[in-house]
Amino acid sequence: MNEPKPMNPHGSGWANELAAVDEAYLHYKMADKISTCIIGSGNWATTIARNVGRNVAAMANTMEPKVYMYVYEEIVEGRKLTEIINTTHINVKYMPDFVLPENIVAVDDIVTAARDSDILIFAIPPTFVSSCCKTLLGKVKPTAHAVSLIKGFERGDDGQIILISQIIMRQLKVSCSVMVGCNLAHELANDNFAEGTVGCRDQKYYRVLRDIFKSETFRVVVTEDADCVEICSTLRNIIAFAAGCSDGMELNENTKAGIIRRGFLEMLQFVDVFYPGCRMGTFFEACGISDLVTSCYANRNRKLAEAFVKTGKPLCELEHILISGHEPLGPVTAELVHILLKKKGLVDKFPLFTTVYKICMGDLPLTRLVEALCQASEDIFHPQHTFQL
Amino acid sequence: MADKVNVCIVGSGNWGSAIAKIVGANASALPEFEERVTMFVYEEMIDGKKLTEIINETHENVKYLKGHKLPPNVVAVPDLVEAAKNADILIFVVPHQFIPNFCKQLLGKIKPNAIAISLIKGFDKAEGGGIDLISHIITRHLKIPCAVLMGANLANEVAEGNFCETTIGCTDKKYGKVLRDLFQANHFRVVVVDDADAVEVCGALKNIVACGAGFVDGLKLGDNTKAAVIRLGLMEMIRFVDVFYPGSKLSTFFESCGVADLITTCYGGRNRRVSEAFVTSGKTIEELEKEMLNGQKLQGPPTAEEVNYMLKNKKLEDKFPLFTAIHKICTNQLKPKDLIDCIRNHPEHMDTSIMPSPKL
Repeated sequence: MNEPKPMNPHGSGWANELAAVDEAYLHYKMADKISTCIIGSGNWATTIARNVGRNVAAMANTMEPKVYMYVYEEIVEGRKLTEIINTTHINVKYMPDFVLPENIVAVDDIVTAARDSDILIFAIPPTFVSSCCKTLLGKVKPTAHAVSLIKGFERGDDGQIILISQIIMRQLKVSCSVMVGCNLAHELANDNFAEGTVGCRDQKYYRVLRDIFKSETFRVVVTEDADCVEICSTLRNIIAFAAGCSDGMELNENTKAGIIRRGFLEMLQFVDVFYPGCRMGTFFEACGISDLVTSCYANRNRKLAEAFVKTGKPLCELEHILISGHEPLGPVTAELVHILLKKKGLVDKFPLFTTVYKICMGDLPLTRLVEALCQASEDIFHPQHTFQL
Repeated sequence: MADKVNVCIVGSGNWGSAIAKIVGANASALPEFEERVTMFVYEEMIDGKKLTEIINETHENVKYLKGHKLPPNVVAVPDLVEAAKNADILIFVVPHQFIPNFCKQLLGKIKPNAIAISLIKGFDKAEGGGIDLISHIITRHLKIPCAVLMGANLANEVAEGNFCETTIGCTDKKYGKVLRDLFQANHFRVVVVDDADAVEVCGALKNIVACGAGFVDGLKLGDNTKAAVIRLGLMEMIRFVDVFYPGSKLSTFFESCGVADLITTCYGGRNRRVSEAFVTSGKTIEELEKEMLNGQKLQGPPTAEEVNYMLKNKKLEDKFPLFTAIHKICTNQLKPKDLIDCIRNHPEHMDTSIMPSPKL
């Protein structure tokens, strides 16, 4: 990702250069506190705003305590939403009964919110990412660092999966980390214990990102494997959909476990092929195994699939009923993954992903889901040599 | 020409009969096996008739697997030594407390080059404390190698031909193929790994995690918390195997005996169910075992106890906060609601919460 730095023509070497950079950074750090803003005001943004607000206030010697939150202006019961948030500290629209810290300041202009921030936390629906980045381009600090909390991806021209963090990096020209793992905002808001994983693309923010998101009940683990963190949370939609199909067909628990396990293996293999260099350890973080398990037992995709099986209606009819305003990621992900696999001639190596796609398309009957598993060969993934405990 | 491989199933319970269906069918279909499979059946009288006679005439184990036909080449034998004496592969599927006694009866009476495979879930308490694996007991008593078969399997589902997967752990690679061929069926997928201990230990440890998942359900903490407990449980399982059974491989945890079995147990198993009731009803585990399981013993709490003993010996309790907390909750040293406080500062979050990757 990083541009290779040109060698110093005067031959003073890397060491001096790096020392100079370090010194500049240290100076910069002494002079300026790191400031943070949150872009978005939905329930997930609001929930995380509480953690961020509390944490930066506690770290007042290194962090700027005031945190701007960009709120899409709406009129709620005759009052502006930003005004309500700033006076009552409650986001009445998306998280009533949930009090935000006073250092969270709602603003209705995205540039005002982001202009002076070092850390930009994106928590908006995926469809708004591009337009927000366009508005912000050139208006944020060139050293700013983005963090995407957004689930989803965009479809590239040639059918590629473009991850949200890649869109942000491409369009905003800043590096972008991701945080995933905990997918139910209200549980986090209720202070139920949960875990999240940060995939961080900038070394100097490893510690900062953990420290601003964590809380007593929300544990954050930081890894540098950002691609893997994000792609995991995308691929699991396919598996959740398959798990939902199995629920819909009322297959038993062990069959479902077989589907989940197969999906997990295909996830490993997919990452290995398309995002080489990722680490096995990342799959054991919240973004991997926990997120997968949660979605296979409690997620919209799963519910959609269950309804798909039980009602026999085509997907396009069900989506609107079940998931208003949200993209049903399972089928779409399956489609994009299928395109990628086809290009590489690997369709046969991913029987579960492929079968899910074909079932969504109506090309295969549901019963093929289990048949695919029965016929799947086990040479799919051979981690034996590499992963001695 | 090498002789055909003789197979004997020691045990005729629910799981033994279900597996006899598959093994019997394979033995008659595949040329390398002797068609006749003996099954040791503990003789009982059913409506005035001997169980072995019923099985050999009607090919149905009316007592333990009603409604399913066994292949006719599975022959019930009431005498243990008679059933086992010619066998090259001994499949053990009896309650674990019978194992030492059975092994004593068999010692010296079986082929010296026979191998055993244990389908027994559970473990024995080692002298003094700690876990003694069933396969180790068999090897110790019978002086033959012992493989294990574990996975997300329920006898009735397997018998009905529902799809499921399983894992065979077999240390000696040369037996891998024959064991797979013997158990593999279209709906019953077998993967062989050479990591027998890890396979067997997973089967025991998952029950501890399931108790934790049950407590979370009982406390109504939601799906994310449950997922976190399952994940931390998996990490502690991996760590435990690494400490006590060194040389095991991470990939074993990806097999059916690992994640798949863990997930089903945490969402469906009876350890989870009873642990949930433990929280909501406030009754003791013993009372609930009587009420919900007809007095059958739950495996999670005793496993937690033995594991705790092993951890204490190595002074590793604080490295395994989840296992430790579950043991303390089962033994009333802690309240269920304290579970989360115990894992809040989990080593997974503290030691390694920045750049955890190299640990695997």
